[in-house]
Amino acid sequence: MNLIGEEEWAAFAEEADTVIREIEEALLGMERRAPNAEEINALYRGLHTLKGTSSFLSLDSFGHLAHVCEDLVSLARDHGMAVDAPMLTLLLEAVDVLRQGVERIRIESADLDAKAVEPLCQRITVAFRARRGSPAVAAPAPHEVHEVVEVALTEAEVFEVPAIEDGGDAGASAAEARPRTRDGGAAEARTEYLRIDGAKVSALMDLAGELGLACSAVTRHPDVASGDLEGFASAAHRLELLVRSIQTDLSALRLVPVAPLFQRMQRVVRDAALRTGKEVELQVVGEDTEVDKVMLDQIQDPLVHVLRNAVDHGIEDADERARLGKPACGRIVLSASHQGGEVVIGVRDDGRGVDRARVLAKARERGLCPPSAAPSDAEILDFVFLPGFSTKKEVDELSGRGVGMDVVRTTVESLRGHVHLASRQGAGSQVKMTMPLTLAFVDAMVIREGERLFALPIEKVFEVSKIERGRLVTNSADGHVLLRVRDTSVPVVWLHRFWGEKSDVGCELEGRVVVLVQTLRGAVALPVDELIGNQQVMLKPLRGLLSTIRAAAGCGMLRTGDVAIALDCDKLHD
Amino acid sequence: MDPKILVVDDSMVVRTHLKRTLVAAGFEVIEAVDGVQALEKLTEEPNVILVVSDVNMPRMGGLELLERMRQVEALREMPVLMLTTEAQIELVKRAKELGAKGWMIKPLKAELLVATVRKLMAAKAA
Repeated sequence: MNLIGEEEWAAFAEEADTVIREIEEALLGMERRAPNAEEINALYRGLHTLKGTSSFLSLDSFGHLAHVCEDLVSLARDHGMAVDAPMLTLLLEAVDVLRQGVERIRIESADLDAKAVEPLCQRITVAFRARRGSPAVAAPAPHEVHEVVEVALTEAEVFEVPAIEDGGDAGASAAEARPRTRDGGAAEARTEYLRIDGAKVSALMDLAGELGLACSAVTRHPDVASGDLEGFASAAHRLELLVRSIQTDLSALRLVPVAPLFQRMQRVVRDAALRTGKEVELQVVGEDTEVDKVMLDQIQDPLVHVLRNAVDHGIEDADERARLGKPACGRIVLSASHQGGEVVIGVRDDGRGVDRARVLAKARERGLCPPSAAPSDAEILDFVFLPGFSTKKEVDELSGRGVGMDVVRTTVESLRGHVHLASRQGAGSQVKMTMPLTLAFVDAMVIREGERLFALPIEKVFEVSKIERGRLVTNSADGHVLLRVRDTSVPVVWLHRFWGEKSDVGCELEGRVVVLVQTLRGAVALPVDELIGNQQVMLKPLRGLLSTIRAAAGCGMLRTGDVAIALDCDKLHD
Repeated sequence: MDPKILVVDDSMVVRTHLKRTLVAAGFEVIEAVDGVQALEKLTEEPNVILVVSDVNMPRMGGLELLERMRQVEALREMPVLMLTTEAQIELVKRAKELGAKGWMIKPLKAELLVATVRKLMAAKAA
């Protein structure tokens, strides 16, 4: 009857994930400053919970590891011993193994391998005994009493509370008996979470997209479009609003806060700092910012890489910092924020910045830049993102795993985002990853040029105007046509020429409507034949041969059921 | 009017497991995540006839729950089983003073829990 079902495994994995995260957070906090009693108690509780619940599932190795950690922490909880650095390192190591354990449980419902865990348990036990033996602990360690009582109780008839002969006055023991509760807990409200298969949410989003199309097919049907149907129009409008809110809410279902990801980064920075012998502090800003779950999973590796780079190459060692008059402790700020319809994740360090001369020399060495060329500052920074700039050897030695800045860029671009590197020599660098908030629906301005429909992300469009006589300038050097907009000149990009069509039929610019869009490298002007209007577009990825279409972020399904090319504005310059 | 068992534990794993075990043995089970919620459930559900509770929980632990139950006329006689990983003598003594019917150490064999629950139910019915 003690059979363990799927539900218990799933519940365990979910609960253990949360608890382990809290434990890690507590440990990393203790590394920065000495913990108070409540923090130690919280840490103890977490380990205690892991021990207790794993025993239910007969996860002996997992439970054993949690148990020895709990013993170690009990020294701090019950005997006021300081939580020292070797202790923290041991406990963090245990956290990693426990996390692997949860992964294993999730995948194969199996316990950690006892042989693999044992050496770590031994080391923790040795650390426990060494500290317990110290004069700071006079009384017998509580876990020994524990074990005796446990045996007595489990073997006793359970029905009655076993009579335990014990001296001591009742009043004191009653006071002692107050259960330990997580303090300040009265106000602590619990959010209930549902664990839902991501595929189900995706399927639902697809359906919502189709629903939008079907809805438009009815409300904009030619049979009703011509008639004078006032009641119908308002009912149709209401229906469209509802469908739209369903789509928006469904997108929000996939949004999760970046906090857990950012917290893991504390660990990454700590480990990198230890390895390089530098002193680095990671400050986290905007951890409540929500992003699409898919995005969160995909940017983890790139973020790890960027942060390790910042520690390895950015932050100087303490001597050098002292010489430069900088504080001994290097500082990295990891931030997340929403800007318009986009999420911006930034990593800023106060290190030495990118050494242009070295990058250029390396780019030449790797054959990424001809010896004769004199690249601009922006171009030099761009070399960092080229495949082959970092060699495998360097990646392994310095940054731990096979991810280079080129992979960072590719990953972010696959999420329809962009990476931007800014750096001031001597003062630090900043890597900014900008990605759309949701991967499924885009608020877009739909335009027609020639026979094609295009969807432009609405946040990129900053002006729509008509070209008047005298506002056009032709660049005498390369023959490019520029449009004067107030005091700047904006290049005109014909979308049909962009795909290699030479035909200039109907390409008279004067009097035509242009849409001005903002891109990473300045504005561009897109002449259009028709403005179809603003609408929410369901974005589908382009696969296979279609994925090579230039400047396309995907294909957008319009309300009419037509398909538009969703433009990636930042690529319109290429 | 089926009699119900209230399982109080902050761990979802424990709740899930106890529920499965007790439901398989033919009982109806409702759950609470801590003492505060347990008291709410006890007020809402007049058919609860037995409480199986953890000791160490956020907001309100098992012993405080027991204490509060003893102050309420309708709940004074309700049997409560403590099911916990704690084994400090003082805690066990305190639970006994407050009239807990048993103190069981997690994890325990499902058969033992079911047998104990059956025995308690029978005692109450008699």
